[in-house]
Amino acid sequence: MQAMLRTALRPRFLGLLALMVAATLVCGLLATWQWDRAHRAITSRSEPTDPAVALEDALLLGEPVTNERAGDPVVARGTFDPAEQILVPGRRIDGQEAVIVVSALHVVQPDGGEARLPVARGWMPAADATGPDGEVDPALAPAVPAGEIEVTGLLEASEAATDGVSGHVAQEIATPLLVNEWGEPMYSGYLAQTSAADGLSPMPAAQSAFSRGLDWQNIGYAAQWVLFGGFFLYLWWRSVRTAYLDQRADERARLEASLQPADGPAAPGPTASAPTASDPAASGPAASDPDALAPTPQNPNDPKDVTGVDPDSATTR
Amino acid sequence: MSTPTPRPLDEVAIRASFARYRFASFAEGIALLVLVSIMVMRYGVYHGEGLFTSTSHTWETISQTWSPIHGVIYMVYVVLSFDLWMRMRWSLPRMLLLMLFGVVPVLSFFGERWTHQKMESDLRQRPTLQDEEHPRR
Repeated sequence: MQAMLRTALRPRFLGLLALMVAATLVCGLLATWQWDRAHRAITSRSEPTDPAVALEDALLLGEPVTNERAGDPVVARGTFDPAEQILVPGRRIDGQEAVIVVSALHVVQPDGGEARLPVARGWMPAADATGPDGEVDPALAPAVPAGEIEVTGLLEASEAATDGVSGHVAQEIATPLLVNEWGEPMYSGYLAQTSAADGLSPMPAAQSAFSRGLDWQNIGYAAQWVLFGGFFLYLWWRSVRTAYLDQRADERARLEASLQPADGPAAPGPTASAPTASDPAASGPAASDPDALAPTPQNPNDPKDVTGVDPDSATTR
Repeated sequence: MSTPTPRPLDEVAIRASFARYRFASFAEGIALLVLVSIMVMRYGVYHGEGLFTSTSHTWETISQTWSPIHGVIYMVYVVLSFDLWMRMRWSLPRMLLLMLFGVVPVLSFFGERWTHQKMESDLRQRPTLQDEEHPRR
């Protein structure tokens, strides 16, 4: 073990170690980066403790819902259109299969026109929104409140659309889908209503990517970088070990070569202590029994054979 | 201290390692061709307006499923080529070359043949543990 340490401390391997440690550190940095990315979805969101601001002060028509704005508490004033409501099934909220009810709130603009703000009015258990045929039935969702009302909720960015809206059911709360279904103009994000109303449960607070808080893809990348980092250290250890074992085999071969010409039944005790003194080149040829020792293919008869080329196979090349 | 003589190669272990490498090489070659075909479908046949956009939801899903599977196959390929590379005691550039074989479509099939030839010639020319059993080859 100590001899292996001596091999490891040779300048060549110390230099290699420095290189490998540098590579490992780089991998560590990359792992941290991915780790941060995985958590960014949660940490970059603002705390929803501020008092709610009016919609016109929080988001103008046509403005994007940036990460900074997402999760801001907002109060919007307008009227719901009973014809413009969709259901978004397939969510998990509070450990339950949930269906989100999304309706269009018509908000009067400063110029007198109207714009639609999608409002996730709340969620209901999937069982309550499922008809006898096992399909989600939009008719089972509670109707929108009539007249001009105030809605309090959290401003959220539109989700990415994958499928369309069919029969008032969609898989995402995505403004690109809703604008086709309901018409323009429309705000770029949606409001997740936090005040319970009409028999619906309030939408979960802020970190509302519902149950997908951590990005597992980035967690996976972080783990891969840790593995790569470890691999460099392993590579270094393998090189040290290889050099050490080579050296030991070398010394053994030299020792065997030096023992043989000295006397037939080798006395290992006293001679073993002087492996460095016995240079194979100086000890001369004249070995009698090549099969007695030497598991290595190096021919013990030939002390010049230190290049590692087997004379047998070299001739048949 | 001078560099010590390398120990003889273990031909039996090397041939077993090469068999594993060859299997991974074929698997990676095929997996990569599948990935390329999926990419052609996703971004070529069903291309969207911008570069690298797609209009086909189906092919996007297929691509998102296959990509990580191909990633794992490539990782296995790299680990098994590393094993062979270490046993053959080849130089560092050759490890990078082996890794490259798995990245370029179709190249892995030629790379596997090339690696096989290099392995055979090295086993013929360099001392192995099995030389005593078969002194003449």
